Amino acid sequence: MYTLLFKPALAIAIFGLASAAAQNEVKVDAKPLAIGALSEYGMLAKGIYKTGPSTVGEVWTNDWIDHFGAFLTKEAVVNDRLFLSGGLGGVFQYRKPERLDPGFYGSQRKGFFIGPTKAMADYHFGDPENPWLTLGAGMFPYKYNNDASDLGEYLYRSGAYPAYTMTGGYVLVNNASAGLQGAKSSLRLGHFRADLLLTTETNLAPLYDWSLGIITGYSIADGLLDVGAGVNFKRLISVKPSRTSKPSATNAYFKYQGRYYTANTAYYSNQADFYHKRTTAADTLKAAAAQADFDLVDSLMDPVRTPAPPKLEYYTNAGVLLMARATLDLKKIFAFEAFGREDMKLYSEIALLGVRNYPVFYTKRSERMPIMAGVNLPGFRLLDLISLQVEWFKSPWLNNTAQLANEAIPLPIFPIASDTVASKNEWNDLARKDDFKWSLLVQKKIGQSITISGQAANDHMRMVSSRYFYGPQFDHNEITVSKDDWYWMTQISWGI
Amino acid sequence: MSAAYAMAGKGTGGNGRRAGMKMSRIALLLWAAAAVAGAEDKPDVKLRPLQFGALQEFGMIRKGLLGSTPIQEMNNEWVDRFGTYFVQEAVVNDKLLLQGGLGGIFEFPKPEKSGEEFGGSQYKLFYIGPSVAKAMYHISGIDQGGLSLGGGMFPFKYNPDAYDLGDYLFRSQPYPTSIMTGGNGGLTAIGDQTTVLQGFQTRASMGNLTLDALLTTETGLPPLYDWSLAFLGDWKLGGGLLDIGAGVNFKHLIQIKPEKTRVEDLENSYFQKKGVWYSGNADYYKNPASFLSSQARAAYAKNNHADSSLGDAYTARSRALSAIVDSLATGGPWLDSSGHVPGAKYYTPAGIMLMARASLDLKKLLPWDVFSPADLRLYAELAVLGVEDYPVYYRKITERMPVMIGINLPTFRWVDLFSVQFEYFNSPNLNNTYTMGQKNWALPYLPQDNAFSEKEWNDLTTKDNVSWSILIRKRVLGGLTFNGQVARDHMRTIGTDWYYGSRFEPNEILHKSSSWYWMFQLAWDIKG
Repeated sequence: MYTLLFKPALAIAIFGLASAAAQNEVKVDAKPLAIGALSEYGMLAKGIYKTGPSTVGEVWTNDWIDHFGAFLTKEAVVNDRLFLSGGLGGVFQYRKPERLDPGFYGSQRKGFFIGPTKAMADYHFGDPENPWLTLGAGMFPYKYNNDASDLGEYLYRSGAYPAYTMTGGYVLVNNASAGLQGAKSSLRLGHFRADLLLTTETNLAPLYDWSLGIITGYSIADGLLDVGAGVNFKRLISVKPSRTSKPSATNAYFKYQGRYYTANTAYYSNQADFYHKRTTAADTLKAAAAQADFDLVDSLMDPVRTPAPPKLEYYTNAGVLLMARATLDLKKIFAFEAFGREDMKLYSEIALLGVRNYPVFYTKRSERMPIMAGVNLPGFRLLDLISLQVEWFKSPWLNNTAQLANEAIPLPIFPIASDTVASKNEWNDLARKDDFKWSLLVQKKIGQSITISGQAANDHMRMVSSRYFYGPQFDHNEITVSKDDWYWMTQISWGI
Repeated sequence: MSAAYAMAGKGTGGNGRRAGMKMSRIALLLWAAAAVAGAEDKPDVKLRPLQFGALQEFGMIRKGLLGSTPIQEMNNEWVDRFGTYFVQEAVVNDKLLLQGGLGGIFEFPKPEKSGEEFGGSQYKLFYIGPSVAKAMYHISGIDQGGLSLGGGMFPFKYNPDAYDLGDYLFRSQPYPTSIMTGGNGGLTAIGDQTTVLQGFQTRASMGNLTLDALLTTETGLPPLYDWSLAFLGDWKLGGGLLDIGAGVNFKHLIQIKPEKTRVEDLENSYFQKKGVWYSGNADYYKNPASFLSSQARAAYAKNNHADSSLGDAYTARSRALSAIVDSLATGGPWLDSSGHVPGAKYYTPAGIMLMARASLDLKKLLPWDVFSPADLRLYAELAVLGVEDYPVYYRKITERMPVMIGINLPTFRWVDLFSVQFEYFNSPNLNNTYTMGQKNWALPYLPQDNAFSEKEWNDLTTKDNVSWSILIRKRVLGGLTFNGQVARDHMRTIGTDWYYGSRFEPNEILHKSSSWYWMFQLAWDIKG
C-alpha cells in the first residue's frame, strides 16, 4: 500500500518541480558528435562455464575471445545549465561456450548487444562548468572509485543476497563502471563530494525495485590522500514485494528445536546425493547427516505429516551494502616529474555486501566482505597505467546469480551431485577455491585518440552465455574461479 | 526498381502480377520525377544540426490481462522503458529534404517468466531500427507549400489532437477490427502517438487546405507486404478556430500474395445453409458450447429446481452449437471431399476505412492571452473500420465505428497540455490480432479460456467499450519534457510468448473498462 501511494506521489512531485523550472528563451550549444570504437581479443587460458543449480560446470582451456564495439554520443547544453546527452552503442561478441549445432541451439554466430550508452539530462547549479550541485536523470555509467581499474567498485557491481560481485561486462578491459538508470544528484563543496542516487533495477531479477545510494568522498592535502565511503540501500522501494522476498518454501528458513534450517530441500538432498556416491567412512557420515536433515525438513514441510509446521521466514534480495575506500598518491610526496599521472598510487576498497545476517546461508558478515588492494606501478610516462590489484573475498558460496533467475530467490546455488567441477572432494568445495583474485592492467594512450591496453586477470569476468537468457545474459558463475584459472586480453580503442 | 521488378516477377497469381506491374510503374514514375527534378551538377547540400533525444518511462499497470499461456491477470505490474534516438536531416538544393535516423527502446517482455535458460524472460529487449528514413522533394521549396512527393520510412500523424486515443486510420485494422495506441510505434505508452509507415507520400498544401496521398506497404501485422492507398484532407477555418479533416484508407488494396491476404481455409470461410449464415470455424461454436456445458454443470451442482432448469437451458444451447460443430467436422455433412463447404466465401483483412475529425479551438473566441497553445481545444474523431459488412462476425457497420472525443482543459500555462479523452467502440469482438498471427485469418479471436467469459461466452467484449485517457505534459528548460498519463486505452506490451508483427500482446492489456494504468515519462531532446 505504501509503495502504491508513494510512487504516484513521486511522479506528481517531479511534475511540480518541472512547473517551477519553466523558461521561455532557449539557447542551445550543441557539442560535436562523439564517436568511438574498440577491438578486444584475447584468450581464456582456463575457466569454467555453466555451473548452475541444474547444470554441471564445464572446464574450458585456451578459448579465444573476440569483442568489437562502437558508439555514438551527442551532447548539448541548453541555456548553459541543462546538459543533455544521448548515445547509442553496441558490442559484437560470441556466446560462450560455443555450441556446435546448425539450428537454434548452436551459438557460432555473432551476438550484437546494443543499447543506449549514455542518455542523461543534468541540471547544473552555480558555475555551470564547475557546479556545486547537479540534478539529473537517465541512463548513465557511474564510477566512484577511479582507481578500481578492474576489481573493486563494489557498491554498484555487487549484490547482497546472494553475495555476488561482477567485473567487466560486454567488454572486459577498461570497463569498471556500473551502468545505472534513475536519478542522480552530485554535491561538490571544496574537497568534499557527495552523490545521491535513486536507481531502478533493470539488470538482475527481481526487476524494477528502487535503490537509494549515498556516496561521499574527501580529498586531503592536495590529493595526497583521498577517502570515501558509501551506502547502498539496495531495493529499498520494492515494486512488487512478493518478488523481492518470495513467500515460498524454496525461499524460506525456520527454527526447529533450537537449530535453523532452510526449507529449500535441495540444499540437503544435493549434499546427500553427492556424498552417497562416495565411499569413505567420513563421506558416509556426511551423507547420513545430510539425508537426516533432508528427511526432517521434508517431513516438517509436508502438511500431512506435520499439521502444525514451524513458522517460516523468508530471505530477501533487499539489503544494505556499505563501502569504504582510500587512495594514497605517493608521488605527491616525491614530487618527481618522471611519474605519470596515475603512477605510484596505493589504494584499497572494502565492502560489506549485506549488513544483516540470515540463518543458514548468510551467518557471518566477514563472509560478505570483499577487500581489494592495489598499486599503480611507475610507468614513467612510457606507460600511462600499470595497475596491479588483488582481492580477497572469503565467501562460502560460489559467485553465482543463477537462483535469482531460476526461482527469483536470493539464495546461493546448491551444486547438483553430478557436478564434479563444483564439488570435487567435498560438496561445493569449488567455493573455497575462489577467494583470491588478481588483475594486471597496462594502458598506453597514443596521441589524442588511440588507447592500447592489455590485461591479465583472474577476476569476476562473466561472458555472454549460449545457455542463459536472464539479465545481461551472462554466464551465472564467474568464469575464472580457482587459482589456476585466468585470461589475457588486449584492447585497442579509438575515439573522438 | 529492383524490388518492383522482383514483385512483378515473383507474383504467383494474376492479381499478384498485375499488382507487381502497377507497383513497378509507380516506382519508375517516382524515380523519373525525382531524377529529372534533381539533375544538377553541383548540389547545394545544407546539413542541419544532428537531432537527438532520449526518454525514460515508468509506471504501473494496475489491472490488466495477458493473453500468454496460461492467460493471466496482472495486478500492479511495473513497466520500465528507456529509449534514445538520433536524426540527421539534410536539404539539397533547397528542395529535397533527406532524413535518416536511428533509435531504439529498451523494455522487458511481459509476463516476466522466471528461468535462467531460454523461455525465461527477465532480460532487456532492445527494439532498434530506423526512427525515420525519408526523402521528400518539395517542388516549391521546403516549407513553401505546394506539392511535395517522396517516400521512405516515416512517422505519420494526421490528428494532432489525438494525444492517446484516436488517429484510427493507420492504427487500426478492419477485419478483425483492432485498434492500437502508444508512442514510438506502440513501444511506449506516452509519446508522439504516430504510426510508422513505409512507402510513398505526396502532399499538396494550398493555403489552409492540405491533402495527402499515401501508398504504404504493410510491415506491421500479417499478411505482410500488401500495399494500401490512403487519401487525407485537412482544412483550417477561421484562423484555426475550426480544423476539420477526413480520410480514407484502402487497406491491403494491392495484394502481393492474394492467397495470403484471403486465406481459403475452412476456418476462414462463411456460408449459408437454409437461410442462416455460418462461420466455417468450428471454434466459433465449440468454444461457447464448452463454456455453456461448464455453466450447466455448475448450475446442476447447486441441486435445486430453478438452477436445474437453468442447467437444462444451457445444455440445450450447448447441444445446438455442438450439432454445428459435428457438421463442420471432417466427414461431416457440410464438407466436401476437399474439406471445404461448397460455395463458401472467405474473409479478408482488406477493407476500406473511413475517418472524419474536427477540432474547435475555443480560445480563439476569447480575448484573454492567458492560455497555453494547446488549451481549450475540443475535438472528436470518428472512424469506420471496414465499410463492408460480412456475415457472422462483421454484421453491423456501427460495431466497427470507434468514436473519440476530447478536450484540452485550460492550464493557464502552468503546464503545456491537460488532455482528457474518451472513446466509445461497441465492437462485439475482442480488440485482438491473434488470428492474424496464427493463420492470417481475418477473424476475431474466439476465446477458449474462461478469462474472457463470465456469464456468457466472450462477454468480456461488452466490458471493453469505453476507453479514456488523461495526459498532462510540461516542457521546461528548452529540452526537458515531463509527461504523466493515466489511461484505459489500447496499450499492448511486448509479449514473452508472441513472435508476430511487433511482438505485441494479441489482446489489448486493459481488457475491461475498469482496467487502467499510470505512467510517467521524462524525455529530453534537441531538435536542431
